Amino acid sequence: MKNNVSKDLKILMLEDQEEDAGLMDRALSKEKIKFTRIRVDAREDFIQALDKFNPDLILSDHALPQFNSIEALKIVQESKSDIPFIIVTGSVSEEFAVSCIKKGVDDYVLKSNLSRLPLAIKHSINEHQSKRIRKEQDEVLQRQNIELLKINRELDSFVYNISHNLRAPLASVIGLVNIARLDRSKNVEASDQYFDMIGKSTLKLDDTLKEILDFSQNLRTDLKISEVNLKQLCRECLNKLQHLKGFDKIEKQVDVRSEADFYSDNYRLSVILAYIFSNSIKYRDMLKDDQFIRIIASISSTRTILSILDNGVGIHPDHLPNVFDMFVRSNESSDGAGLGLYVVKEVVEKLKGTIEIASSLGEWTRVDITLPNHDKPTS
Amino acid sequence: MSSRKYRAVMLIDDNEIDNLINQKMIEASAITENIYTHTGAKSAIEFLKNMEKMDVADKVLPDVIFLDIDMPLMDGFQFLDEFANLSQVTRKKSRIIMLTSSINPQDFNRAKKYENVKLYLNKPLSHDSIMKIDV
Repeated sequence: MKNNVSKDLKILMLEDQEEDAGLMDRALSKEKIKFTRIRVDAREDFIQALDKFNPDLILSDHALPQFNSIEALKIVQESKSDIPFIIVTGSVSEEFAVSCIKKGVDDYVLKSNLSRLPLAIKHSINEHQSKRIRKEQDEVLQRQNIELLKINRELDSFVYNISHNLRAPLASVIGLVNIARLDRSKNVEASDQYFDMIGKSTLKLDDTLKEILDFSQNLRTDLKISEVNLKQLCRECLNKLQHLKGFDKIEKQVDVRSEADFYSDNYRLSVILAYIFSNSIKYRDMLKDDQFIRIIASISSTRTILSILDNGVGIHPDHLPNVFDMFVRSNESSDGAGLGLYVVKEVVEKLKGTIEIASSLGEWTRVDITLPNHDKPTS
Repeated sequence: MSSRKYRAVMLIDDNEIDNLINQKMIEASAITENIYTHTGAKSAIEFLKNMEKMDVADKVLPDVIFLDIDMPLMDGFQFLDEFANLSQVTRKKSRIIMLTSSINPQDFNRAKKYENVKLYLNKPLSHDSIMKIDV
């Protein structure tokens, strides 16, 4: 046997005549098949050998004093082990041979024609092997299919929600144009008000589009690791939010302690920081005189721990468990699409980090992020 | 103007721009004398609960409630669940029209299952659709 059998083939023989077993040995040796074999002739011994010897192949006589090949086959099939089973017997009728094959016997060989045995063995083993491979491939396919169905469902709900988030501000714009027409003859102030509102609605549309873009960028692009100046990055991200209402009223502190250089993905970090900072600003507590955002980071050679604390309106304990879910808006004055923190979580996960949010309603919110410090890129 | 169809309608929408649009459109079509506006479903439920307690509940309760679906904290469907627990007077008097930007058939089918929902309209509210309202 040249194919794929480097170790000895383990053969379990169900045969009451040692003499016949010897004949089979010789037929195999002639074809240079290396093997070890055990011969049994009773039910109990057969079952035990099946378990302990763990054979690669079974050669079975048909009729034994207290046992027969069909019962033996049943035992093998019930044990769910996938072992080729060949009947080697004195003489069988054609009908019997056919019925054996139908029951699951791989082949039958006449003792008077043992020269056929090596080929029958080779053939059966190959057959079993390719069956096993097909089965494995089927399983892989099925798993992929389930995965794809799941992705499809998620995509469906994503498209539904996104289209809603895009349509809502658009419907507002159309409605505003309608009422502006109604009020056309009235004063300029009313028109100015409508223009402002149209502007606001289109900005919302724009924000949603940006969120979708950040989301897909994160999914589709590989990490780009380079040195990060965290303090500077925090400042830059904060400065980009100057247009938000109340920005100037909030005191911003950035405190970075580093024991090592920080290597991570600058773009993804800026996405994380932008969403969290803008939440801190949007949900500031206007009743407080000393509104603040405190960013504290410590960088070690293995990881960076980043903590962002604000004294804004906080998050209701009922909503805390869901803040990272897609399309969840947890604040009454929330006007976004509910994608922000979902995108943040996705980005943090892409960076193989962790994120947690703690909050006390009316008092503070703290976001804790831990990110691995990547190796310095070689190029 | 006693020819108005309704004495009062209620608007429930977290988006103030949409509330303004709806209010202006309804005013222009002159179907009601009063418009109550709520930016949260919770406050709207509280408002209705207080009204039911009054002797004149049948008079002051809104004839029609325009209800948005996608709202933070309590959404339109949660409002409908709460509404089902209100008094029979309220449920009979106040008929609900879903007014949403959602063109999602799932939302439409889900809304249809509530017996208090009489109509499903897409935003923006137009003069034509207001004039066709027959609930």
